[in-house]
Amino acid sequence: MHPLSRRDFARLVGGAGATVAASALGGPAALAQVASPAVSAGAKPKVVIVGGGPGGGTLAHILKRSSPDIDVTLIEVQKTYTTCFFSNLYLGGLRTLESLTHDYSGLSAIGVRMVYDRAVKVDSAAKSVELQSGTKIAYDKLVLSPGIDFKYAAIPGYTDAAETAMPHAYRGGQQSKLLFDQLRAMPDGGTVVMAPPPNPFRCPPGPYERACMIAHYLKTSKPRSKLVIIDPKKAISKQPLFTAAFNELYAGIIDFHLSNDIDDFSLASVDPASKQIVTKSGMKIKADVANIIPPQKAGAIAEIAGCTKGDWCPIDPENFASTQVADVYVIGDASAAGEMPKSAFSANSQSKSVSNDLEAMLAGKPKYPPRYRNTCWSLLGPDNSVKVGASYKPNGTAVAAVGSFVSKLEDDAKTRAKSYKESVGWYAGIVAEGFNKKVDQI
Amino acid sequence: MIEITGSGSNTMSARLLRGLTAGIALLPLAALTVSLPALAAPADGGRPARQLPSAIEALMGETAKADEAAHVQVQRLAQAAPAPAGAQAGVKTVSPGDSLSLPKEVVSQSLSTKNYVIVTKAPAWLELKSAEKVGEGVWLVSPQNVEAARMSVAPAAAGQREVVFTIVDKVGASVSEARVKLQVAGGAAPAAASSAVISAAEAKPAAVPAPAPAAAPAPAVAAPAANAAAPPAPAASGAPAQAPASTDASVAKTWQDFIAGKKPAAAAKTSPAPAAASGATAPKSEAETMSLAKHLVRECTTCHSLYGEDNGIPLMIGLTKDRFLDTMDLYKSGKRDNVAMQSVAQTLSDEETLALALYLGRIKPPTQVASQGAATATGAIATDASLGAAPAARLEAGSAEAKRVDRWVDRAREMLEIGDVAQARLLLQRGAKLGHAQATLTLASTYDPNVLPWKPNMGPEAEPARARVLYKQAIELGAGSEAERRLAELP
Repeated sequence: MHPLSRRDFARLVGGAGATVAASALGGPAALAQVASPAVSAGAKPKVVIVGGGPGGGTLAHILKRSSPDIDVTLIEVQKTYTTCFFSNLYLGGLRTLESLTHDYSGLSAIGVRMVYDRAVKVDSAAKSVELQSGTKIAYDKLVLSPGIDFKYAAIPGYTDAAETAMPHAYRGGQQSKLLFDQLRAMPDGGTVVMAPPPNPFRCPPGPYERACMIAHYLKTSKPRSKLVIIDPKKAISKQPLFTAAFNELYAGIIDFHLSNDIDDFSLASVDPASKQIVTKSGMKIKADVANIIPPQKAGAIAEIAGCTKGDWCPIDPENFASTQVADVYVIGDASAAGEMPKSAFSANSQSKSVSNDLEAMLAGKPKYPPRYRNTCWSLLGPDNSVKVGASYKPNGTAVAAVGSFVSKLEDDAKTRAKSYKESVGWYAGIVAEGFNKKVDQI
Repeated sequence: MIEITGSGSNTMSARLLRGLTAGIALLPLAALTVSLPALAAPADGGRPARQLPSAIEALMGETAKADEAAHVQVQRLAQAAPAPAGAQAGVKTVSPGDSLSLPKEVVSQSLSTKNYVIVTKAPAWLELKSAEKVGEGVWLVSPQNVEAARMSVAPAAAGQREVVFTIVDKVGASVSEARVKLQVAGGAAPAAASSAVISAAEAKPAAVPAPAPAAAPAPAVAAPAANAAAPPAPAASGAPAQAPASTDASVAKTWQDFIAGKKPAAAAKTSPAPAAASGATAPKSEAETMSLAKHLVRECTTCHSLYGEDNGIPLMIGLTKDRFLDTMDLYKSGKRDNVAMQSVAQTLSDEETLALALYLGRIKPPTQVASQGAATATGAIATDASLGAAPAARLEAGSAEAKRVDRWVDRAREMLEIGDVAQARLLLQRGAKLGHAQATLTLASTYDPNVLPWKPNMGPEAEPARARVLYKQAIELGAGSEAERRLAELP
């Protein structure tokens, strides 16, 4: 039994108030008390999770499964979740939207309390979450996994209407469908414009996998069309792999503009009505379909809860506890996770560290050093997948990569095909885990 | 031949360690076999060397714990090879305050084999750093620490003592030993070079496993695999706290607790210094090992299913412990080229990998669970036993189930292509049990010396007898001329 690490012990003593601290220091008899710290006497410890994506869903699943005596509530706006990861395959015509949509029945089945509502307020003093319906839900520990929100105002001209006219498709479901439908409705010979966001943003290779998938669709269905990418960044994830794919697989279709010291391809303005797009370098393009992905920030509830510092939520790299608000954790895209990219895989991985922390604190289970991992697969074309990933560890102040890997440019077709199969397996695996489904149902 | 019969609290490992503690030369421990009903058929292609790990795996299972009075028969075939004269080592002269590394032969052998070193008969004036004290004069050095380990001579030391370094493998069988005589000469300069000699008491595994008593419940016994299974201290603290000096009895208790799967040292729970307690590197109980594995496996389950469904990512359940360890070694060393798995393997310590191996080996694919009901054997053994069993009926070609198995066969062929015979067999066995002709034929080919590709570290030995049985089954299931031709060509 390792009820507490030294660090936890210090944290509990520091955070739980003088009574517990005094008794904890009093001797062995007090330890049991520390191991299952003050939650309302006689009641099950209450963990409330906001956001039912790969972070919150996975946490609800593994926490409830491993510690049935913890009362686990998952607050989520929608009754089904359509993953943003793999939505590029949908855009490319290789996957249906239905196959990316999952319900929460598996989580309800194991006793996770599902609350379909929007969290609108967090009272960290009273330790409760207020819902749009007015209901308040008390917590002992709160985990925020709200994903991202968009900084619309950062793009001149981008209004609420722009989200429909120039869909970002950077949230799964409706947004993905908008872009899919616009691409299908576009006549051959049309121009698609994609504007990836500046760093940091959800799924660093995402826009470029999307470029490949859109280009694949254009190449096979509308070969006279173009995809123009205007990127505010000077470098991108898996750059050699993507540029090779753009040049070799989609020559004549993809027109890729990375910013450099001279030309800045950040958006100067957009006009949702005319779909006129202007970059800071002065480039003007009239789009038939525009995929404008605005700059991003932590999901709104994180800011409302007081967990943000700037756009994102600083966390303790050991356990993803918020450094801003006591008894609150932030996982997934909303967290400032150091070198860990914002991805479904990362969120899944982080949720496991949080689960272990909660199990140790609330259910007296052993606490282990966190192990973080991420892998991002990107599909360049059918059966042509590459991946990048790393293992991560806390280095005292941040989460840092300890050994990373990336597919080789010279990998043969067989390796690429295997990587694709692997990515499909991963999708089934992470969804099965996040929503408590069987992999063969996904 | 010496027979040790024990039960419950009187386990082999306890005896082994007590023996070491008392300074009894256990070497050469030519072979240890544990006779168990579940092990009548060796799990891994009949290689006797693989028996003990499997034995421990079985012993750590739920059934092992259930029957404390189980009869245990341990054979020590020590007489076969007489004890070596203990390598006539020279005398190394040391001074108080000296800090010595372990004999270089010991270090290099431990590093190359990843085996532990047990230092025995260490005098009270010798303290080992980067080692774990497990009893008076007994220290345990892990392969990770073997280079860093130092023997420091106490300031007021005096006298001469022969220190024994025994290299033990993961199941506690001795591999070799070295002896060094240390002579403390006040103020004298240390001798120029270590005079340690590896005695190379090569342990030969028993050629014939002892016959198993029929239908006896699995007994509780194990070799000191606890060291290997001991995960690093879960605490986030820095340097591991030194384990408290323990008496012979307390050492034995720790080992017994490991075997019995009890939580060790209730003291850790009630200790007034929790931080120090959690930082100690005491051997972990079975429960702790499984707890660690359950934590670690969460890193795997983002991709790998634990429920026996092959989702396009290879199954990692149902492998024998050794197969899992071998597989992870292949990734660790880069011999298998999946960069993601290389990264996973490289970030797991040996202890963590072993904990995972033990845990995953116990999870049975659902078809095995369904077909065997309350079978007591481990997944690996069950798989093996299922080989001879004829399928219930021929699987209707073109049916949904047959198509499902078709995919398994495709997948298995991919695995075979990369030399992953063990995983392929798992899948194929499931298909064969359902009466799928191609699965049975392909499974047979994995035992066929004419087909089985020889790949270093990957290909298990061919087993023509099994191949013959399976080819015949495949023919019955309608596999046709290919099965007949291969059957005819079998040696």
